[in-house]
Amino acid sequence: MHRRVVITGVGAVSPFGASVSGLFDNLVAGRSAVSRIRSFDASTLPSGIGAEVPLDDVEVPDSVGPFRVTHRQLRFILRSAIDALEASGLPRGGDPRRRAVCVATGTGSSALDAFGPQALETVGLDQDPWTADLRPFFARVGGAGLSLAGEDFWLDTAAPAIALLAGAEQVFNVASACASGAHALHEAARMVRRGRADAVVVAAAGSVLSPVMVAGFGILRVLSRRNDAPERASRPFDADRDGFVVGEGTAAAVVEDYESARRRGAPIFAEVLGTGVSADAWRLTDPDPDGRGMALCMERALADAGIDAGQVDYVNAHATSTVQNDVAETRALQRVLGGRAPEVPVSATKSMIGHLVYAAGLVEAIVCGLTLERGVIHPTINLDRPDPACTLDYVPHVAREARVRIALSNSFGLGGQNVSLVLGRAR
Amino acid sequence: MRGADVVVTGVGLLTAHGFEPAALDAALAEGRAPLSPVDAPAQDLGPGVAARVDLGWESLRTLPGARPLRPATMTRYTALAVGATGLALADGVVSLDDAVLGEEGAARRGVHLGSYVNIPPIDKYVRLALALADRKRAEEGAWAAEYARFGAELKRFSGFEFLSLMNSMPSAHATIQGRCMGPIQTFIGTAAAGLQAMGGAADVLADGDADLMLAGGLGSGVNQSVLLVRNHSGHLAPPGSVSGTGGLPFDVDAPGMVPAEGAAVLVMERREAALARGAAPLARVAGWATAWGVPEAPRRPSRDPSALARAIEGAARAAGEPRIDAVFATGSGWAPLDALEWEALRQALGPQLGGARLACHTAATGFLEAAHGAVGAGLAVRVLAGRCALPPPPRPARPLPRLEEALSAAEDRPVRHALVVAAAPEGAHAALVLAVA
Repeated sequence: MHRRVVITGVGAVSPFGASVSGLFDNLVAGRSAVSRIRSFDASTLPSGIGAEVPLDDVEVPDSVGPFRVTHRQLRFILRSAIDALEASGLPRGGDPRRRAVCVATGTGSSALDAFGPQALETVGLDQDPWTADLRPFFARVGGAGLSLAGEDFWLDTAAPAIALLAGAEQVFNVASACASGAHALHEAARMVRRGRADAVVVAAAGSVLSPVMVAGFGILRVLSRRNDAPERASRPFDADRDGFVVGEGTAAAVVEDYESARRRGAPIFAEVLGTGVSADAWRLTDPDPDGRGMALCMERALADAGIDAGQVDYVNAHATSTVQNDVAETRALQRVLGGRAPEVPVSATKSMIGHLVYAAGLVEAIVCGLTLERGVIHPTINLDRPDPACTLDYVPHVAREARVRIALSNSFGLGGQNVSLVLGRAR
Repeated sequence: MRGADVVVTGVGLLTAHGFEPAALDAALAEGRAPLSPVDAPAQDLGPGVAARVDLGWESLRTLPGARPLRPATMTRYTALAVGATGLALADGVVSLDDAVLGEEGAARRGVHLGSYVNIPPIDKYVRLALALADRKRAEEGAWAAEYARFGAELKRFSGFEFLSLMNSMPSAHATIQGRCMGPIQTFIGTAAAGLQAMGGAADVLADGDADLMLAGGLGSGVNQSVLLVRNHSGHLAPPGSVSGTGGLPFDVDAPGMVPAEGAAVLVMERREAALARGAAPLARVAGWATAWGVPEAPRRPSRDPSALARAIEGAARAAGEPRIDAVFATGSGWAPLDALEWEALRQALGPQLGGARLACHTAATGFLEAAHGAVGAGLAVRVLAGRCALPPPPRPARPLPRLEEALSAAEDRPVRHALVVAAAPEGAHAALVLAVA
């Protein structure tokens, strides 16, 4: 008999602010959070648009134990974790060995802001930067004289800070590119089910909305270049889609053993009925066009939940708005849902908040939980002219009221790293 | 382990001693590591030398499953993963024949790797920061970027460079290499990450979610970012302090870590699946655990060994509390961490370690970051399978307190249960118990 796994609290800092409820309200209203990038001048980059968090800062302690909480992403993820812990009411002082933290991280940002001042101080601008001797930079930065260059690459500082807040002794950091957030939730659910922990705080951060990454993905030609109409740029399943839009955000959730959560009277946000993971084993840069890996992970999640595809009421698609992904995911959904595929509503959160990359899967799992709770499915916006290869019910433009008991959330990472989550209504 | 019986059927070890295990065995016996100068411009960090892997695409492409991969998509980390994965696939005689394997077979195979950052050398980004500097602000002594000029600099970069920044790319490469469509995960962290990956893989197998997992860790302490962090944190041996060795584990006077590269990947399987395909089990995964102790400061561990002791006790408990015959310790060569590890071992196993023999590969390999515990596990499997002798104990000139007594009390008994310990300055620790197959 498996231990039942539930989510008892959630938090998110998204392009719609630091409120989970506000996030969902805006999604249901079909609003786009995408605009020209404001945090740096992206005017000469192939793609200069994104969905930024509209906050300069959030209220969090400036330090937790020995850890300084200075980096923007670190402050956001901590806010998310604090909100999730407060919502769950998880008491301080439980057995730390029975608690864990699992944080999804990717690479940090470009670190140019960290390197720049130190490079200026140690190397200067008298030499050609591309041939200058950088030995003084490394010698000084590697010593104690300057603050550490590139510290924002090291987002593994988030997990220990959250572990202190949650009183947890098991600490994990995991990464699977765009599927990282969902992957962390999968890992947490498995830990609870196996009995390795009774409560796991899952969190995800690591935006690619930085100069270097926006430039890099731009070169790879995976970002939308619809710079003149940002709010219309993210258009999953539309025939005129031309790539994804980078977004910024963090999320957190408290995952618990159902029985212990019930005993302490915890609010149940949603139940994690099943999870599935797979790899495409195909190519690093493209998904398998037939979506075999994607279908496999959905099938695994459904089997893990002990349900068949006929019971799925809603799918929150990965739906990046890239040409290849949306077709492959559609094919995978057709394979998994079979004859019911045209009837099951599928919507794309990324059409409004862009792609939060490492945090995307966790934010979208939270969106699924709110869909179950409120009985309304947010739309896929900008779906004006559906791609002929994308033939499902994508809930275009307008939200839809529906009795959703079981939701399937997909996350597919670059390099063919796939995660599907099956969530059920709280009961 | 609860659930299925999980065994190891193949070992891929990649260190500065190359692809051949015999070379590593010889170096372990002699306690020597081949060191070479660190490349400019980071040569002034730490000892200025490192135990590096000679790893070119020409050698990698000869390994099983590597040919479809593209060097342009690889960082040094990815190359290490591909190398150790190829060696493990060869050692475990794992079929890569799609016609035999089929989609269903591929779906029963997965990858779990431990790694840290996957970033390429950062000097290019430091140069970019200088190239984009606003000169007017610079004259005032402040750095600010003129990102409007970024477009003109993009020609210096390829898209693959940015793709390779993703930390999970080594695992993604390994799935393609090993025809693995099953569970994939990348555990990010330092020394413990490789053991967390192996432990997690054992759980996946025990849960019945896969029949075969490629699991391990890879690490490069030679990476410029890692060198900066380790040097800044005071972990590294100073210039000129080491010669011919990868460190002085458990020595009061140890100068610090010697940066190194390496990787270890194990072929782990459900026993019945291994036997069904005719594979010979080399060892059994008996139990694992992980624990994190609040550090005194970031990257400086607490002096309280109890968290690491709890990881060791947890792994032993999961293994059914066997008598431990050999301990494959971390022995990083950084005295504060070694002192912590030594006290944790004493606390968990008793003052004399229950007569267990102590082994440590650091002198032969250097400190391998996320690969350190994984390499220890690979060596333990080889010992349990009778493929090599137990490496000799560390030979500190001035041992940590009470270490000599424990070394003297070690019993020369067959190794039936081995404990592998991964201790990290960041406070995340893990332990794994392996048993004879």
